[in-house]
Amino acid sequence: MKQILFFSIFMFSFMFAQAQTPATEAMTTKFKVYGNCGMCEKRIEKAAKIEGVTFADWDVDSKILTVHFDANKVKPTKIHQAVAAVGHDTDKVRAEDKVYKKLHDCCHYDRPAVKQ
Amino acid sequence: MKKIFSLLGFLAGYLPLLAQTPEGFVTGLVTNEKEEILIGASVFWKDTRQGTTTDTEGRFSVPKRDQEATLVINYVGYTPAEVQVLPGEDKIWVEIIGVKQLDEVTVKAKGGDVFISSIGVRNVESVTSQELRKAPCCNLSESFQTNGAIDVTYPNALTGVKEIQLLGLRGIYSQFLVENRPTMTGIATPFAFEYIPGTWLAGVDLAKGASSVKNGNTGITGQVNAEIVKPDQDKPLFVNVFSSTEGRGEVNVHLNKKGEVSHHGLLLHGSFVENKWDMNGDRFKDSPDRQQLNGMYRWKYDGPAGCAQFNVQALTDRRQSGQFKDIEGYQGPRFRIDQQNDRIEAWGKYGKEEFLGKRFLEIGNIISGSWHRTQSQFGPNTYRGEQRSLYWQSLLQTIIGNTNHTVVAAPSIVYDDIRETVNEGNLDRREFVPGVMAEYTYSRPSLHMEIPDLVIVLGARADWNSRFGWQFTPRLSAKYNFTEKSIIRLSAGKGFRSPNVVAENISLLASNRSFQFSRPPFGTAQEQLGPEEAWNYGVNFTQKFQLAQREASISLDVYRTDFVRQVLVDVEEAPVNSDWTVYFYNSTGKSYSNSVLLNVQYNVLPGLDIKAAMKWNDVRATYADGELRTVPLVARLRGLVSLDYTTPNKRWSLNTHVQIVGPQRLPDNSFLPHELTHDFPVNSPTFALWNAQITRKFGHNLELYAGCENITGYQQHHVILAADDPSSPFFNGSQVWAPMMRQVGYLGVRWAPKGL
Repeated sequence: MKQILFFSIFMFSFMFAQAQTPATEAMTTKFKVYGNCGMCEKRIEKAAKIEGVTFADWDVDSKILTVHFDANKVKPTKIHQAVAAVGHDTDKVRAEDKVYKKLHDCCHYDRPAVKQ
Repeated sequence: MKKIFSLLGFLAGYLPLLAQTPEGFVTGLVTNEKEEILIGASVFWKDTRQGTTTDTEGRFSVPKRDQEATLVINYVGYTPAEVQVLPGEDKIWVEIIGVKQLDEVTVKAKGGDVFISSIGVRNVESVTSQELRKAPCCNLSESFQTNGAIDVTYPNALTGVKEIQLLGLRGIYSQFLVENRPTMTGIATPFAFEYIPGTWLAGVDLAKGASSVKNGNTGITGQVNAEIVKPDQDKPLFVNVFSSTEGRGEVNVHLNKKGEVSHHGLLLHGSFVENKWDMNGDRFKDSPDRQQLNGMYRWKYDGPAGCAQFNVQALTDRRQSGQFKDIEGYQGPRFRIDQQNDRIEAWGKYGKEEFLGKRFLEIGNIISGSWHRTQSQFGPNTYRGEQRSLYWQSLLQTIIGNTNHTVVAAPSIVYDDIRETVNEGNLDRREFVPGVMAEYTYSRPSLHMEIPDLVIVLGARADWNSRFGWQFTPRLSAKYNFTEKSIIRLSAGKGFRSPNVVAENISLLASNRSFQFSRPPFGTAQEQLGPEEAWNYGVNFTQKFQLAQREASISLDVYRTDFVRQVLVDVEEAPVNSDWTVYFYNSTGKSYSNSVLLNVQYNVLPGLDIKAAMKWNDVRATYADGELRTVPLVARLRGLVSLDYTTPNKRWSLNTHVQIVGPQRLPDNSFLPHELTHDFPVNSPTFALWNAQITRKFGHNLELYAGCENITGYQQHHVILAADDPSSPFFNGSQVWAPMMRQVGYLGVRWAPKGL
């Protein structure tokens, strides 16, 4: 009996898992975020941690933001938008001017040229 | 127990994920900024050759690294991306951001109107439609006037057909392709280039040396591939009108209708030449009267079911020439020339990428059929020919493992039914050639460049020819890029061809000589001519560089063709009892051609380009008398200098070029009466020809051009031997080494209401 139960639960969980797939698809993405200082770092990382993002780390020197996320819950564009929403330009999404202006003085990074 | 269950459940839940991430690999996804997947993007570990390309879902998988490493992602049209990958980051989503800003790179640095690619494995010169507009290219043969690699010769005083030479050898030793399909073979050969009107050309690719075996085993010295304007790329309406002092009038009309997936095109050409020019006063026309009507209908489908094409070409061409004035003291019939050619050809193509849903599996099918009839009268000589041809090829292309290794294989069938008569002699023949080819290409990705630095192509084909038996053709090409601007190319391989001796030497009928298909002396047994068979080896070195911050390039070609068997045309045998004969026979001794070409291009100022080419040819054959002699009428040295200027607003452009033609050995006619040969020295003198053209653009849809050919008016005075007596056994009009026409001026207009 125990063996049957064991087996059926095993099978069930397997099928459940199959039906659930892809339950989570852990992925890493990296992109450039414009910023200057430690204050920027905190702001960027906090903004990036939207639902589905499990890890966000921004490097002051390389300006690269590394994000671990669940590709079934969130897509990179959302993360770009979330970061831009707090005033930081990414290599894909540009922050609104008025939000940028409201940043602390030390955070006023040199903005990339507007693409034609 | 519960713990075990939950653990099992947990593990089972992860099973599919584990399956997706194989141990020891970094996997990932490549998309553009809109999160659209990119298929075929290359993904490499920086500074290594370890990498792959993304599949149809945009996914890739590369072996894992122990330490932090950088992945480089390249995709055509996008800025290359680099991603630092830390140990533990096993699934990466790479977005390639920002389409490459092409304006800075390409608009300022001009590509050149004739260029040798840095990427291709073969030594191919591409002549663009811009280059073709620099001269009044009435047809394909004339389009090579501004090209140093190909020589346009003046083979005949009486038929007006221009022939080309490549690597010092006659054009018949190269393969003629229209959109990568062999055409105008057999009896159509002498006219092949005359039947593709200049405005129809979208571009011409000239591959020198042993090239691909895809299209057959002919093409000993190379391939000339003409691309014709496509209905979905050409203008909806294009009109070209042209006239010249040669008495030429020409109209070309293109009509194209572009649909969603299905496109139609109609190309029409009508031309005539009518004149009374006799600039050397020999009472023979310098250029034949001609009438040509030529039309092509094209249908192209490009949609989810693949890519298909159907084309029909029909043409009729008449040439009349010869003696047109009475000669004092000559009572016999005038020596008149009348040639009529009619041709119909239809061909279809079908190709599909991702055949059977498999990525990197491509198929291509070509079927074509043609009918050609030629009827010619050269004074007393009558020549008739009719040819029916069929061609089929099915090509399969795929990769082995990854895109660094590709393979093409194709079976093919060629069928030619040729009926031919010269006076009473019958030369009917039928040729059926089933064959199969395979070609393997290895491309080694480069550490520093976006293009592969080493490419090797190994190809071979086996054909069974119903007249000549088995023919095995191996060929090899390789290129190596030292840098993006410094390339070396090598090629070696074999080629065969079935000779069509009369059709290919039709100009020799413009004389009173008879033809013998045997070696001299007269009366030896006739021999089976051909197959011609030769090896070709070549090397090309191209260096592009900047001089005073402007683009320049220098390129050197060295080629050798070694005949195993060549069909020789011997015009140097003395007449027997005043019966002068041309002998055709298979070579038994050495027969070769060496050709060296140096090409320099420099963009001196914005809009001003200068090009210079210098060529040296050494072409020899061992004739029946056992002597290794230079083949007559091939210039040992040739030079070409051209200057092209376009004003910054692009309204005016000026194109001019000077061709220098070195000495050519003239056929040895020392056995002839001296009073006939006084003008024929051993070698022809060196001479230069100067052409110039000016083009003015009005708005976006109108262009006027005018020019002059042979501005200095150089001409060959005595073209026809025994011109005073067309009944003389020595009457001969086939020894031409310079133009007969002095200055020819022309004027033309190109108009396209929707923009040129």
